[in-house]
Amino acid sequence: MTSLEKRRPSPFFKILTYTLLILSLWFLLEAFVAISANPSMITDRSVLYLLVMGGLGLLLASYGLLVMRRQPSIWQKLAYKPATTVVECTNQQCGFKNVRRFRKGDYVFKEEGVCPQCSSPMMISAIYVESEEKAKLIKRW
Amino acid sequence: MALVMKLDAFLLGQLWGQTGDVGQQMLMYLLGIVPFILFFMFYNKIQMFIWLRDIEKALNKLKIMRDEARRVAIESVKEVGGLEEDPSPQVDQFLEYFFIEPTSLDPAGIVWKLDHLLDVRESKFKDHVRRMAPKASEAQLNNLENLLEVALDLNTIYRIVRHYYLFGKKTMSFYLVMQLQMILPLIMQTAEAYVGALQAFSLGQPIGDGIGALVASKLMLGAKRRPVEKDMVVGEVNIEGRTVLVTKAEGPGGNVGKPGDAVKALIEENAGRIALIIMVDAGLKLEGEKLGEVIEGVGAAIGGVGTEKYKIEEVATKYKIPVQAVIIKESIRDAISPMKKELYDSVNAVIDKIKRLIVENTKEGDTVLVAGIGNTIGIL
Ligand SMILES: [Zn+2]
Repeated sequence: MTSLEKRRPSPFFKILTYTLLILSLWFLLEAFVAISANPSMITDRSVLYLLVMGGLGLLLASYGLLVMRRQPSIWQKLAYKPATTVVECTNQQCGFKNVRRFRKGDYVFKEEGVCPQCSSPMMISAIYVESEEKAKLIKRW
Repeated sequence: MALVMKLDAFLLGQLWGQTGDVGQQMLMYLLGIVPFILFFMFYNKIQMFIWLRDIEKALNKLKIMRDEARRVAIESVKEVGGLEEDPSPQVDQFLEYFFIEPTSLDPAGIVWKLDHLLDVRESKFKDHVRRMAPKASEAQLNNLENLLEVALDLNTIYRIVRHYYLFGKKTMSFYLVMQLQMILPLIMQTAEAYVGALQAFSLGQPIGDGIGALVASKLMLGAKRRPVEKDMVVGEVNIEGRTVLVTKAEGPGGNVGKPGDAVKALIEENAGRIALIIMVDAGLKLEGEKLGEVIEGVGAAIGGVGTEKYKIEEVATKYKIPVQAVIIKESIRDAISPMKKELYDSVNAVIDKIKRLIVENTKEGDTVLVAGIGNTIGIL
């Protein structure tokens, strides 16, 4: 099960993809050089082989690159999503509102302190997380 | 250019240089089709290889999630537990706790058997958690229990996927691997949703599923709350001349309570004279729909294994009470992840809808029952 333990794409896979990319580019270049030197070479069997192999190689390599790009966002998903606590004044006329970071022990409709404007009790009205794009990559919370 | 020359020499000169023209062409032709023949012969094997790789990658992620869940659980137990010893062995023991559903060979009365077993399971869970964390408060105990349950679920998903992966690899069974690969996106979505729950349960933040409880809590804000049945509270408010009994799970610890029992008890307390039951719950969001949209319908809106739903339907049928539902659209993922802002924005719309339903469907002086369904973590 050792292969299951690794988290990043294997270096072997990376090397393979880049080698393939370079080889296929080289093949295509050779074919184009041959054709530009003598346009009738396009029907030549070995030039055709180079073109086909180069094209296929390029396709495979771009797939490899795509796979590497898409790699683990798993830590992103495990990351702490910053949460916000909204504390509002219970006096409807006042409407004083305090938005701060979430603290452990907060819960919605918990009374918390008094309003600095009208001295009515304050109450937590919302605890929410921002949309995922804003999530920072903090592993621990 | 040099390569072309060499290739030309290799293909035509060196290898088959001395054969005739026809033989040469035949050989080239064969050489050309051999890759295709090989491809068709080994198509299944190649496909299997790709699928197994997909599964392996997913399994890798599941393992990371499972380990993270275990780590968070252990740290939380250490933090609130107040015990000197390392809770790891006890947490590990918890991670493979199983539940055997009652047999459905003779389905009559299965709901009560299931209900009983679930009660036993929950009290065992709670005892276990209490032993691990004797200094935790009731709310913290509930949160820990929820957290451990998430870790248990992630562990179960990981173990099952690994089982089929290894089994498929061992037997090289095409269809076994194919089936696993096909449901993989669903499995991963569920697992990722559980990962979202880790943060909420370890910190005591409200989750999306709590929207029903949030609405109920806001409705009975300021009213006196009294406990009704296990882990449920009820508050009495007046809306447009109607007496409205609002019930929800007891917060702010992670808890879903037993809404079925509460609804039944409240109806029986009022000798069946309830004009309308309104259930508020989260769910039903399909891909492409907006989070937090409020819709209404008919029926007992409550998820879970079905025992609570059964109880509500049973008692509503017995007393012929109409059951209506207001649903706040959320995906499963939103439901077990920390609550998003869009959901708070829909709370007032839900309350307006409830008031309208009450006014339209009942007379002044009637008694109405509103049940806020969902996990009340982080919500009083
Ligand atoms: Zn104020």
